Amino acid sequence: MFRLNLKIALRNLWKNKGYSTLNIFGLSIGLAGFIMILLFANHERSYDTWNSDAKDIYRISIKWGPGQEEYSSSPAELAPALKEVLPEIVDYGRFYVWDMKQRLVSKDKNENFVDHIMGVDSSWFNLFPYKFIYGDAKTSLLSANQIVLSQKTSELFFGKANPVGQSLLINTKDQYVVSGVYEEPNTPEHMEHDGFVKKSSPGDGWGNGNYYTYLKLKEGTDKEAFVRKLNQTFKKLPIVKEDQGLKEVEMFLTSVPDLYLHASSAQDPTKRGNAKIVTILVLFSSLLLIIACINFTNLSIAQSVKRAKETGVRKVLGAARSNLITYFLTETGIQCVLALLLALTIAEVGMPVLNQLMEVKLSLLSYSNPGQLIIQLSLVMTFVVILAGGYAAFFLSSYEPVKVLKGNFSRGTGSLWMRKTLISVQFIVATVFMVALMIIRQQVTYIKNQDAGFKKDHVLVFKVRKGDNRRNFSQIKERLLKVPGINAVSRVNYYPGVKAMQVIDRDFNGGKVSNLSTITVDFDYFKVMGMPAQRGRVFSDKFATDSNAIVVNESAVKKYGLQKLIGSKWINDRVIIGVVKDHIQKGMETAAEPTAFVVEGRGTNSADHVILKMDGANTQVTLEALKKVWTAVEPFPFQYTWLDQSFAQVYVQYIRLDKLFNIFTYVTLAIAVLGLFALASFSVQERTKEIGVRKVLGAETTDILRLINKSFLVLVVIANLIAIPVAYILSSNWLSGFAYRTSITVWPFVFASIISVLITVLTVSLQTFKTANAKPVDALKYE
Amino acid sequence: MIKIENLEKVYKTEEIETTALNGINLHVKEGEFVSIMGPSGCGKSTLLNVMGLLDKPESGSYKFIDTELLKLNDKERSNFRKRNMGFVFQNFNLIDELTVFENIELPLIYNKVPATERKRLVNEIIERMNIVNRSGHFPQQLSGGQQQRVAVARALVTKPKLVLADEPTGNLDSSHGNEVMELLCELNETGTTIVMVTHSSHDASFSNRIINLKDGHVISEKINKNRTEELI
Repeated sequence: MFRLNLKIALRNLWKNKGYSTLNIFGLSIGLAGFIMILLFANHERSYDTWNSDAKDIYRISIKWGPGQEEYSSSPAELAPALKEVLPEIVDYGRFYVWDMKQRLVSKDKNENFVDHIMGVDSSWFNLFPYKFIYGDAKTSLLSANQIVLSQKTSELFFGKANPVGQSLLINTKDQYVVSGVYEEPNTPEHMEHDGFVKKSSPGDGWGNGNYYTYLKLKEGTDKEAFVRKLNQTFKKLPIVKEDQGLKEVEMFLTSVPDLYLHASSAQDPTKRGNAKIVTILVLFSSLLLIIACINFTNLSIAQSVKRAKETGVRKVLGAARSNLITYFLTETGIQCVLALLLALTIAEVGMPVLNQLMEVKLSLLSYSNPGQLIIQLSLVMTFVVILAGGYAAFFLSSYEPVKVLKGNFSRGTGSLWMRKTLISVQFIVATVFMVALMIIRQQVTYIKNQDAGFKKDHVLVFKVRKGDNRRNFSQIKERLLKVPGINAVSRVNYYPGVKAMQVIDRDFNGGKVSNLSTITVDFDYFKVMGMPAQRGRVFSDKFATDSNAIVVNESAVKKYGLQKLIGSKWINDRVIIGVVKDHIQKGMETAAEPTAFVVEGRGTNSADHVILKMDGANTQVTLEALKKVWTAVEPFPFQYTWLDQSFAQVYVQYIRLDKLFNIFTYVTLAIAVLGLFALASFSVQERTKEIGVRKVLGAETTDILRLINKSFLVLVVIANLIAIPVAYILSSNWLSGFAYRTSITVWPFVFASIISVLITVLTVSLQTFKTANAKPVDALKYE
Repeated sequence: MIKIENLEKVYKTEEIETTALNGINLHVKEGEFVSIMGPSGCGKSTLLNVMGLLDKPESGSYKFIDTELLKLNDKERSNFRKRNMGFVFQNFNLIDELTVFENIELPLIYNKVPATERKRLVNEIIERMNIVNRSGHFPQQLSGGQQQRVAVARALVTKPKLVLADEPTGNLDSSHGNEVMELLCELNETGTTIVMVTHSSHDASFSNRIINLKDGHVISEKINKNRTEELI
């Protein structure tokens, strides 16, 4: 039976080549889009999944008091104290924030900057069991001069050879012995690492959250209950009774697999994905697939009249309804399989585009988890066969044979209604996509043109690697200023676009100044950044007292009520000498925070980046001269970034989203037009006689075009009426995540509606024109 | 009123060429009722379609009163047709989605007749055709005879100079067929020119003149004396 079905199905598909091609192609485009996004979503959700213990490993984050931000770092002393009293904690591992820095690693003459050598506990590999190629994880971090390398780092210095026992020089002075080499896991991880050493400090005291603490809990420990217990137990620790500052601490846990997409803490060194964007993409690619299925159904039903006689004959010959359903599903199945093969090809060919947009390296051929993909695709294909073929099978098998064979198969029954609903759904989706695209574009333009509060063009940033150079910076600054084309030179720790921030709490006049973002700078910082004082003045090396002064932004003035304090002493005995305008520091999602600027000195963080303004006249020459001066100061490879480029990173994901939506929208429209074209063609075919009669009675081509268009335009108008509120809710919801956002105007909705109407009129008219313009006698011949 | 000279029409498919009309000459006077007869495939429907401007011949001349119709472009043909001609088909060709009233009204709409005038004209013809109580019905709810009455009403509502009928009784039983033929005769008596294609010599007997076609030629013409006398 199956073989017979297969044979007839294949013959039928071959007989209707044009229609089969259209059907398979339409579906394959939807599938290809879906597969590409699926691959990306899988990648985003695969972080840390290589580690089978990951779900039982949690990172601690801390709120130091009510109303404060949640920090991802914690004191070193916390984990040992907790482990002693909480039996659920099997093990812990920490890494030290000050060990997270780029290092110059050398093996003889082979020198390379290595970005991520982490200082961790020797228990680290109990939590993160990397596969060791050389050496033994258990003994690899026992002493301070041991270093474990990733395979990639090892190959950088030793090639394929076993380097265990060999030595490496770090930052030109410290000797390390390689104790192990591990294989990089096959899934991405929340922390980047090129190697590990033993952390350089046993702890900085309870008041300093300088460690990232991971707890490994007993398998099956209930997280919620444990967090409650953790906080209760913490309150009973002896140290908490002594140290008043710890009384109001609240701790949270984030499991390792959740860190990438769902971590909520500030100052987080982990890689961060955007769960919202992943959800939006999956949602919209599913919609794309659904409208491709709808298209398939529509085309199948449209063909059904041609198949009615065949179905009637089958029924007369004794086919049960279930036989027919099986047959039609077989036919759909064959087309779906062909569409899948085509889709996989399209996806693989299109993958580089997505890779470039999302900054990933994904490919179907070298996919890390093919098993998962096969299962997912099987499920999706089952769903597609049922969705795309189900209604057609049900509908086609329901014909009454006598009626069909008598040629009394009249239209205007349920099928037409169904097809109209389906085409409306396609247009609802297409309009939502168009509106979404326009609003995303508006927002991206708004972000790009947003006044950042500083002038970012021709500003160059590079790191100061030696502490001495920071302390003697005024002489180096003189030399840099002599380079033609350099207008101003300063230093800063957190330049705009850097997500990290020093946030301090101080007491002042019996009150509390909490959550004050603090940026350490050098004189002339505001000159480099083009941020003039709104009130008072900014730092100047002409005033010796400025090293103990403070400049605040408008938000700080507002939050702490500093209007009358300008010119007088504030926290840390620093005099407020001026107020600058708010600027965008972390990105478009975060409103400007109350911020203070201090000049590097005693008790401040170090301003470890040189930031300088060029005149932009002869950049290449200036850069060369600058490089010469700087490498004489610090004999390392000269690495720099342009502020405008690094600042653009804060909104680059939205530019990508915009580009992706562009593709989505065009593909969706293409599929919707395909469906419309087919339905219009079918509609014209059905109404050929009517068209002929009307023409005989005096209708002109335009009358016929108007007639056929009208029935479709009604659908499109209804679809728009449904789509507009949906699009409004979706986009205002999305925009609410931005502190800096455009307002929703009526135009995207108007344009999307006009475009959908124009597309409809154009498609339907093109399809109708031939029949409408034909000699009436041709139309009547169909009788 | 109609002067057709040397009309030729050829149908081409990939393999064969069929000459449907092969130098037809035909004159029809105003107020005449002409039947065209002949075996299947002789070209009679083609001739009717050409006369109704539904199809274009390869060559020849077709003058209606003094206008040469074959020189008109599509739009002019369409305009000429809707002002001067009415059609009755074998299979009625009513539009299923429209009521009897709306079907009859349709040509008036395409002739841009104002709504109140349309209503008056449609009601007038509905009364004349004796289908008043059917005006709100859809075609499927009517018998074949009634449907053809509606089709005739629709053909007449614009008061055309020429009515073209293609086997108007072909789908009807004999009593309904006779009814329709009597209707056409009545029309003809009020001055409407009618050209009818038919297989049935019974139907043809209602006309003034019978033209026989074969293989695209006029092979004979016969004056129906009973009716012609009436005409004179």
